[in-house]
Amino acid sequence: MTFSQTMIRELRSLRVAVFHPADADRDELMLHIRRIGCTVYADWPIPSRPARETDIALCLLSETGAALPDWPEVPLIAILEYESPIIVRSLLDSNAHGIVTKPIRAFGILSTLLLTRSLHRFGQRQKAKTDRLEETLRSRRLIDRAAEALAASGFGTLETCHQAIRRAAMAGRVTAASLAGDILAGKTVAAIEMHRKS
Amino acid sequence: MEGWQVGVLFSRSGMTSASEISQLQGTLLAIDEINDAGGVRGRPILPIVKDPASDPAAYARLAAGLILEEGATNIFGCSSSFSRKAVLPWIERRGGLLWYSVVYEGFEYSPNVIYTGPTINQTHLPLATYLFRHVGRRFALIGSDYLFPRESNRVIRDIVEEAGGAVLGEHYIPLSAGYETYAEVLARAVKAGPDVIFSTVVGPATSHLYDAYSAAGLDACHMPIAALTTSEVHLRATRRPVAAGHFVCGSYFESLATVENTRFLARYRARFGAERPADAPAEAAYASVHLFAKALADAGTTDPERIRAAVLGQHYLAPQGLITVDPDNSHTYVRPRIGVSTGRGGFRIVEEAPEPVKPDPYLIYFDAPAPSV
Repeated sequence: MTFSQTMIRELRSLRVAVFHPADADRDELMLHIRRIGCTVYADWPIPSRPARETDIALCLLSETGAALPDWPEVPLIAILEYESPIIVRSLLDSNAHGIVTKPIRAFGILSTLLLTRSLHRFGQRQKAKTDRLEETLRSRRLIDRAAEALAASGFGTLETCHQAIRRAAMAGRVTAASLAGDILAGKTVAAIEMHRKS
Repeated sequence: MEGWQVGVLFSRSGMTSASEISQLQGTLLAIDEINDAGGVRGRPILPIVKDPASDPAAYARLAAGLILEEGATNIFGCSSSFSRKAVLPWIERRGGLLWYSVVYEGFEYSPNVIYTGPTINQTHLPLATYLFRHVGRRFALIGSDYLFPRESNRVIRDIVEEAGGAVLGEHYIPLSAGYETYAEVLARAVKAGPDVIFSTVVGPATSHLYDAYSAAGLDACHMPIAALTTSEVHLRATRRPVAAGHFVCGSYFESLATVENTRFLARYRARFGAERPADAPAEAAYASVHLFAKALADAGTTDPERIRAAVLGQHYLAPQGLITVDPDNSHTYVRPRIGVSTGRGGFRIVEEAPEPVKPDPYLIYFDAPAPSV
């Protein structure tokens, strides 16, 4: 099954939160979300945390322009009542990936739920990838600095020091980065010395 | 005020006329019946009949005119997704109510539509399940090239693949195509060796498909056509007689032996002649008007919002049996039935659901048939 097929099929297992004052608009919105197969609950005012296992949240962007909640793990749809610059500014500042406009109309809600979820998932994946890359970069810098320190202490050439760190890390079952940290803290030169002699 | 004005929007010519002439007749018959019995709250229903001639733009224009100029906010009309989608924005903006009475592909809900025909879980799913059990699991899909067939085939593909079957080709034919194209596409589909030709071909051209099938000398016992919209009207419009053994899923067949259907058929034939058979579009359009009349009697006004509120949850004992408008989604509880062509222009019912099935236009409760062993 393709990704988009799965997304549509998953509608049935989605748990949706609606953060909006109780009124006819909220009823209509909840009815339609239920109609397309999702489980839905409502709350107002916006709680500090969504209920556990909330897959997606729709949240009223109030006319005061108060900030939308910042829950990185929950895809967010802003419910718009006005389109004034204040509102649009807080929309841009928010983590919302989609909008639903008032008065509530059934048409478009299904697409917005799926598109928001898909964009959020894409964003999460990109972020995880960036986090991993940044981590790699940090380790690389640390190892470089440790190798340079070893070389400066007369251990050998820069290349030899790099190799020594890698081998010692492998032998000691630690990451090269954490060993590099220890070296820079002046703890582990002995271990590397031993390794070189053996 | 002298009567209740309603709009009637069906094409008497063009590619959707096969079903819409039936719908028009069913609609007018029901209105006559109601008026002969004294009308609703002592006033007759007055149909304002418009003919969009299968042109989507004309549907939109005429629907807007019916609401704005004639004050007919309840419109009985359309039999295809392209005309329904053309009318929908107007109906929603002008606050009308569309009574849509044929099978469609689901995944829609508008507060301005009452869907009285069956939807995917009442047609696509039972037909695929039946075919899996009794015919085979390798499907070739042939459809007219527009939304209903494409979306229907997406659903069918899902069902077939999940249940361990296979789709051997998906073919689309332009709505304007002639007989030759049907013959060519059918030959291509057959070449892949499917167990069944799954057809979502619509309109008068439906006859081309069956004619091409007969001309190719194919045997319905080995590779039947299974369809969602083929009706008795189509079967009798072919040049060669349609053989026995082709399948259709629907909630109504002319051969249904209910008291209500016997009475309906007698009146239908008396009014329109015995030449044209009654079919699912005629019956559902007929039932829609009766549902409307019951809602009107309760609401005492044709105001769409009040009518809508009054029709949700409303029952009607139709020729097909008891139908109920589902308050959750404005679609209708109907009994899915499998008909097999008799070789004499009609269908014999070979399977039917034990009771009306809740409409599930978003396939929330979808379960594919168990893989056959």
